[in-house]
Amino acid sequence: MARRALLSCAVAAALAACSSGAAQQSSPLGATIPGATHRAVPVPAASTTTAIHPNRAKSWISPDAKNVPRLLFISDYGASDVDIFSMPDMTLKGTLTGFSFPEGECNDTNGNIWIANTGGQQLLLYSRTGSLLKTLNISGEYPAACAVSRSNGDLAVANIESSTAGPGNIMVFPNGSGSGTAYTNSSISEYFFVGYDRAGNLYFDGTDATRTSSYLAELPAGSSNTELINLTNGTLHLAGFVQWYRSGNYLALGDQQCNGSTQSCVYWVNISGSSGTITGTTTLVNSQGGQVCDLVQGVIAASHQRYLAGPDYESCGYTASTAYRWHYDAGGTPTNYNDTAAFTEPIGAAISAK
Amino acid sequence: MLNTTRTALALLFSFAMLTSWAMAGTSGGMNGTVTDAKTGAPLPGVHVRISSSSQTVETTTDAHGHYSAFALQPDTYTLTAVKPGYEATSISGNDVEADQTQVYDIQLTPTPPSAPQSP
Repeated sequence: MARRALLSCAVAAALAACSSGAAQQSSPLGATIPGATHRAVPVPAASTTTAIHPNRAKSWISPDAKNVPRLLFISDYGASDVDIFSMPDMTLKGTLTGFSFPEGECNDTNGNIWIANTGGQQLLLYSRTGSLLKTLNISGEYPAACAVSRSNGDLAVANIESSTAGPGNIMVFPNGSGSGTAYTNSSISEYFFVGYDRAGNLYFDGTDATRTSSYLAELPAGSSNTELINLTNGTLHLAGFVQWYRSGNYLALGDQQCNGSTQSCVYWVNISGSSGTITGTTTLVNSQGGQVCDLVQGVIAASHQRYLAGPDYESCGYTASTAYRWHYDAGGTPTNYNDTAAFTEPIGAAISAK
Repeated sequence: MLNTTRTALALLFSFAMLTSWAMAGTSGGMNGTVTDAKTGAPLPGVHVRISSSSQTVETTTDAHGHYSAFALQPDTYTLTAVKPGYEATSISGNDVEADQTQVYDIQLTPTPPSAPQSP
């Protein structure tokens, strides 16, 4: 019996080898492929391949970070890292590695931080001490930003585009779980940022396919239809971050090309139905006294005094990429900054409160 | 019963000898792992084309990012790896020798997604 089994295995193995080789043959690919960018190194056939996983081994966080009341997380799209700073002094307390082009961030009600791992088509939930708590896969979409509803815990995600370079959408995940429900607006192709107000209304912005025009829109609480917010007393030139500013009872709306210039600023938008009136502007100054040019995502928070924090990517070429903290809504010169963190291309920001 | 087994073993031996005679010195193999150049993660579903002037073979990486090809004529091959979301990559000068399996790993660089910022 054992001998028969051995015979069966030997024949099966021989046949499998034959059919495996034959199965490899097929017609050439039709696509034109660019030239070589990597050179393979031959390895002896006897060598073995070690299992490879995303490299999070270089992550570090200072042991005292857990005692810091407020931590600022900044995602570096260019470096595929997330840096963690203590507030308000902006001291670097850690770096999380192993991301794929991370973009926007948001905090939940427990002090954890959702990070849009855009290239990985997923949102990752991290504790304030750098532990990965949850992975939310959004296959087929490139998530760029997020917001958590304080009224019901829903997680809204702005998918800037599909993974096939098609239009993006807004997706809402009840309690940050499940497969999510997608919403679109016919005027918007690239969805940038999202923000909830206290009543659970969801505001979002984005651009058309060519980024010629920017739009602010709303998904009212309980509705499945989005509607554009008609802005008066000003124009949104290049969509920036969206956050409900509770103390001012208005929507803080970032513009990366304030008044059509290269400067970044924050508009104060009073919302009434489908209308939004710009009633004021917070302008920002960098550490060298010049204009802030590339504040993509800022975050407004409060600790004794209200402030705005976020990164400025190579402010018009005359400062290094820097993490800033300004008074809000006064703006002006920063109260604190860190220009030695060696960012590559910082984009996202969120604050974890202990 | 014993005769049947002997006959089967003899047939298998003959088959093996014929196969090894036919294959000896005439073909080799190639395998490797395709990984994400940024994260090091293995990439499943990568379309890999292995081509030379003598033959072209196509295969797809498995769940562990592994590809393999057998019965390749000794030649110098170009490896081309394609996966949506990554830059298509071609690597030339990969030699295959008779009776040997070469290991060629490939790294694919992710195509950067759009970012919500000014260009």
